[in-house]
Amino acid sequence: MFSFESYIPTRVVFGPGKLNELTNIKLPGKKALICITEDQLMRKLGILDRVTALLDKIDIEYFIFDRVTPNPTRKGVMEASVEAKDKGCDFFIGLGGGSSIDTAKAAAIMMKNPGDLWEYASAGTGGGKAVEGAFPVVTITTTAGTGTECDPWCVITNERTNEKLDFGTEAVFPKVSIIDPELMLTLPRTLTLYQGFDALFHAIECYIANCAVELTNLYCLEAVSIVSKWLPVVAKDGGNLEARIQMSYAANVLCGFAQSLSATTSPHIIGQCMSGLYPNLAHGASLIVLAEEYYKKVVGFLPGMFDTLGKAMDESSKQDGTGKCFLDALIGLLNETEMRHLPMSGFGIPKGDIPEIARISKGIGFGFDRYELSIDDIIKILQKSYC
Amino acid sequence: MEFNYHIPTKILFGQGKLDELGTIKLPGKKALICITGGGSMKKLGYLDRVIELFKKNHVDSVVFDQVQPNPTSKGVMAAVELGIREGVDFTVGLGGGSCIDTAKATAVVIRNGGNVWDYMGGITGKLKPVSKGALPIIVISTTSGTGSEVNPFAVITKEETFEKIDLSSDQVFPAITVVDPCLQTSVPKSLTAFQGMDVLFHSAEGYICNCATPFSDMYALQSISLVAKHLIAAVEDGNNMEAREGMCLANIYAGMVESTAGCTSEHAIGHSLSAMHPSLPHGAALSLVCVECFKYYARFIPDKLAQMAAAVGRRAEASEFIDFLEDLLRETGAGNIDIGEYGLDPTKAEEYAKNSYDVTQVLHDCDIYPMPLDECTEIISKSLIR
Repeated sequence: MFSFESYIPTRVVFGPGKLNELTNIKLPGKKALICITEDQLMRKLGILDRVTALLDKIDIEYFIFDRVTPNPTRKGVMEASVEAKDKGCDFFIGLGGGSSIDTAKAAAIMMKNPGDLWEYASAGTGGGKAVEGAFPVVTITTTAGTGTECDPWCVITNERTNEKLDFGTEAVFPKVSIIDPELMLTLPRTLTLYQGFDALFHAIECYIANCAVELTNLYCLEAVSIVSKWLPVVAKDGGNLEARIQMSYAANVLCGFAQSLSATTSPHIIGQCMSGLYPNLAHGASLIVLAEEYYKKVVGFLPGMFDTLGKAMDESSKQDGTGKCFLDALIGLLNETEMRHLPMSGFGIPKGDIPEIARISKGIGFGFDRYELSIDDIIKILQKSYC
Repeated sequence: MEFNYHIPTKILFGQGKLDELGTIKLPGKKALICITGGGSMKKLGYLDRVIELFKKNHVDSVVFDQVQPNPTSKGVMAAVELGIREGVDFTVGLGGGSCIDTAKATAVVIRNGGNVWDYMGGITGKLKPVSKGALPIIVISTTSGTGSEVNPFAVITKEETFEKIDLSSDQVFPAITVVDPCLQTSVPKSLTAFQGMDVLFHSAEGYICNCATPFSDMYALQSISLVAKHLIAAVEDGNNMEAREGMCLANIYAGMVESTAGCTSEHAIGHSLSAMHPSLPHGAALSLVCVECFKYYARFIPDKLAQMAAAVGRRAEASEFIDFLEDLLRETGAGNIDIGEYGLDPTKAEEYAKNSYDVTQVLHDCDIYPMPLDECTEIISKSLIR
């Protein structure tokens, strides 16, 4: 007996060259605040100009908010919402990767809900207030990692408390998500790999989560299989369009869908906690550094599930009822992409901080795990991972 | 790879989910509940349960109980009249595809005015845009067959002109779809079988159509595999909940396929036969012609059939998929159709074939290799002379 709820109302427009569809789609407003990162990459790559030229064609007014930071902050979100109010914008466009999109989503919340964003955070020092609606959001994705294009979540860091938390409400499902893998051809190799592994771990975690359902299993196994096959290809040749298409499909669509209906588990909590404390640590990297030791620890709790994941990663692998084939495939993928033994020390994490990381993570809670991990378990995982 | 996805329906799936209608936020205050004239929704107590749950949720109900199998434009207009007179602000399809599609079409006409055929294509439709939207629609599905639970189509028949076609609009995606397998235990064997075949062909045709994508293929293969696993068991024992759940899920996946890919000439032929002989159930029409259709497809796209054969646990060869269909028709009883009972006439094969192009060319257009009229006629003729 199984049951589930599924609601993914986003209009997804997926495919190479689809950015041009912007002029053919009914947009949810007349005046947009376009959120982009402060590194001005969207300007440098000419993507912002393409977007604004398309908006000009269909008489949509726009203003640019170009102060989004990586691991976007509460402060950035509040600034974006003030800007949107000042300019009278009636919808948001998140243009770029997860940071820009999540800033757009969170700012959209603040257009319909008074006060400070953190009053609506439901964990940590958050006020736990219910979110009542949001302005419409359109996303134009230039990376293949977060899945935020197709899910109701946004991840924001409170720069005052170093907490990195998820905000989720049906109202922030993007109204339209344009996913054009051609925009991803120039992504640097390291970012591509971080994001590719982020997608892999979204799929794995949503599969082993206690809230996984039939529908998400379908999305997750498909995504795991695609990432395992295509991440090594895109690692070798970032200009391979087919590999970019496949990675984008897995990361942006399948994983977004999986996250809408299931949830990520403790590795994401630990990783987000580390990125909150050490902002140099990219989200994908935070998951990679602990993956091997984490899964060595938990594979025995769910051997059947990990056998299935192992088969999805490598069709030819042998399932022996222990989940070992999954560990082999994971380590193989880390080796093949040269991401194994990524050093935590390189991101400025002192070994002495490990107990604190473990304590904070556990404090946020591992409510979606099917197994119990103690603070001590996490300390051991992180110590074994440390290099 | 490129595709569009847009299925803004909230799906509540699982045993006992019906009860959530008493607590969740409903999209209006007064419901028009559409059920068939046969009385099964009343006899089984489902109608009373729904009215009671709505009442608990402070929503009034009006019942339209004149939906016919293969619902007609006249039936829709009668529902519209009742809905307007009673001032309803959302519609509910309680039952199978006929009720769901009546609720959908009614929701469009109440908002936009005029006649339902203004918004249809086919030969005599005006294909007006559904510019004013539609009333919100709730679906409570008591069969596993149509896929209408999660797609933007309502299939309506105009009896005078023998047209059976889709009203197609994003506006008729249900706001909420409740799939509670407990409501399906009393579906009789033959209907379970016919509907199961319909599920299978929504997915199989979606898999072989020219607008299939890896995204729709994912749902299609999973759906086909679920039908292979559960349909016979559901027919044999209607109370087998695992089998009913499996078929419910297969149907939802098939609906996702319909929303992201399309059906092919097999459905065009099926619609044509039911349009000319309205008593012929849709699933029966498909069951009649499926073997000949897929034998035809196998000549052009054997690889696709081989992949579907693998999905049902057979050797990856096109002929294995045909064997699978023949076995399934035999074991579910869906193949036992007395064509005389429905008035089907093998000598009219060409007329049936022509109707399938005249009315539903859009379905023929989804074939990778377009089916010529003479082949279509032969498929129908062979299917009817057995």
